[in-house]
Amino acid sequence: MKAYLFISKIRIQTALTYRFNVISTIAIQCLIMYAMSCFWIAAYDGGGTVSGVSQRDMITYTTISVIMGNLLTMGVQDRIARSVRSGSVALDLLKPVNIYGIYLAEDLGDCAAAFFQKAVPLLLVGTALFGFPAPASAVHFLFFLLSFAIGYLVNWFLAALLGLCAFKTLTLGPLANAKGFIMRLLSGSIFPLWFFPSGFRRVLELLPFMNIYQLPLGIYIGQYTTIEILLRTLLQVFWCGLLWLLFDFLQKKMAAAILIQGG
Amino acid sequence: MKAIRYYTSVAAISIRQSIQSRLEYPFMLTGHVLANCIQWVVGFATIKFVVDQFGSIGGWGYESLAFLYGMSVLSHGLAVVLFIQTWGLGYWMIDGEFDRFLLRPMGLLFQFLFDDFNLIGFTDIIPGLMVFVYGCIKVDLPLTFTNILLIFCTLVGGTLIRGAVWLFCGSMSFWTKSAANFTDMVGELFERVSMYPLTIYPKWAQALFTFLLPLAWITFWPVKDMLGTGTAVVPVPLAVITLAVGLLLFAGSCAVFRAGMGKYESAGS
Repeated sequence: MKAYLFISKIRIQTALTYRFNVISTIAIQCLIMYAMSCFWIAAYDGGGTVSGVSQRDMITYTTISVIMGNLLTMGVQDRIARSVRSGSVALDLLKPVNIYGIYLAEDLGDCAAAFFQKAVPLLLVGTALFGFPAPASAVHFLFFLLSFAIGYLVNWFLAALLGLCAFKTLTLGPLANAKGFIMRLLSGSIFPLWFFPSGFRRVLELLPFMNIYQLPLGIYIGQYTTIEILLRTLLQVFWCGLLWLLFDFLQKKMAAAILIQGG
Repeated sequence: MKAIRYYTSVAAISIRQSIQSRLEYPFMLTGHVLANCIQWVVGFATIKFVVDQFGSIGGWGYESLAFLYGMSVLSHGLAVVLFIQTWGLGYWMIDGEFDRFLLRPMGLLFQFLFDDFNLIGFTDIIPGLMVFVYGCIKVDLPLTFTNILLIFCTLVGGTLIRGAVWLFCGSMSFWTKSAANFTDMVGELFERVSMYPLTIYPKWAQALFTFLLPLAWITFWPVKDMLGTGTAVVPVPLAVITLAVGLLLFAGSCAVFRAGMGKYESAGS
């Protein structure tokens, strides 16, 4: 455990080194958050509710979504792909720790640094521009935190699974692109699924992606009833477990099939 | 004259090599064609679904939005073909890759700009064309010589603006000494400003994206002009201004790159 915590600490320190990067990231993210809020204000054009969601809810949704986006950056997929390409994966696997645990610790370290460096400033700017993005209630907020944590793991396992593909394909290329666009369009991070036609939405609800953004955000703004929250969280836990099992199975298989490039 | 011929021949060889190296991996190319086609078409579909719910966005119906979206994807694709090497500029700097360039008897910027010709970028252009042609039909854009010329100016200008922003962001690495790239985030910002109408923003933000951070010129102003929804403020078509803005910004970014190279100190051993 100590080794993993140490890795997380190093990642936080690394993140603190590059001040310019943090400042420009915050500036660009603020613009993105502002742009998306303006989009909803223009769409609602004054008021009313669409699909049971008000303009205020959508601005809250957008603000929290952008903040979540900064916390959910996953390094694991490129990390695996890079170590496979360079061949350092062989050395990594020899280390007396679980290498995937190290990757997770790195990502959690990045997440912790991003919380203070990006999430808090973004929340402050969002509040200054459009008012505090308050959750529906304290209970909803607690459920949101739980759902976000499980969503984080779902996202991490998906990224790690994609990273494992590198063992076979050696490069991620189009696979990484495809995942990126699915995350952007079909997880509810920009447009919530409830604005989509019902057939399309039903298909998306069967996939794991909505568990990363849409579910925590929907809970946050109070879109779901308590029963629905519990059922959907259970489904989320199921996805998380399933992806974990799949990851564990594949990771063992891939380790047996390592191909070291060059000599 | 001799120098121009020399530079052209080097560029041609470099481009041919880049294309050949990309053709080495046909599976990857096919993957990109599929991934990008689905990405941009589904991307537009999600916008359409939302617009269907709300009627219009900032006074724009989905027909004009299709035209705007298509134009944006096209210039994105072109920029990816020509300027993808700017995305990794930070790593080039950290790894000391510019050493190679400095040893050659040729302009540094020329070498950098012609180092890569990314065939894969064309996979963005295919879906871009699909949505764009669909948009052209939906908004009844007459296929006149003037319109084709205006579209050409917009695409060249838009591509240059995108390339200029990437080159500028990449060049920042020379000063920050960090390889971090902002491509993803800047791309997201491009999307927000070039795929949705600028009319969704309050006046001050419109001014910001027009004058200070001139991203609205990539698609919005020339497209608005072509669709004839605004009154003319300037005597020239706005597509021409896009082209001018593109050239100006690109020249500016090149200057920043050159200044940055002055800070380049290669890599340690």
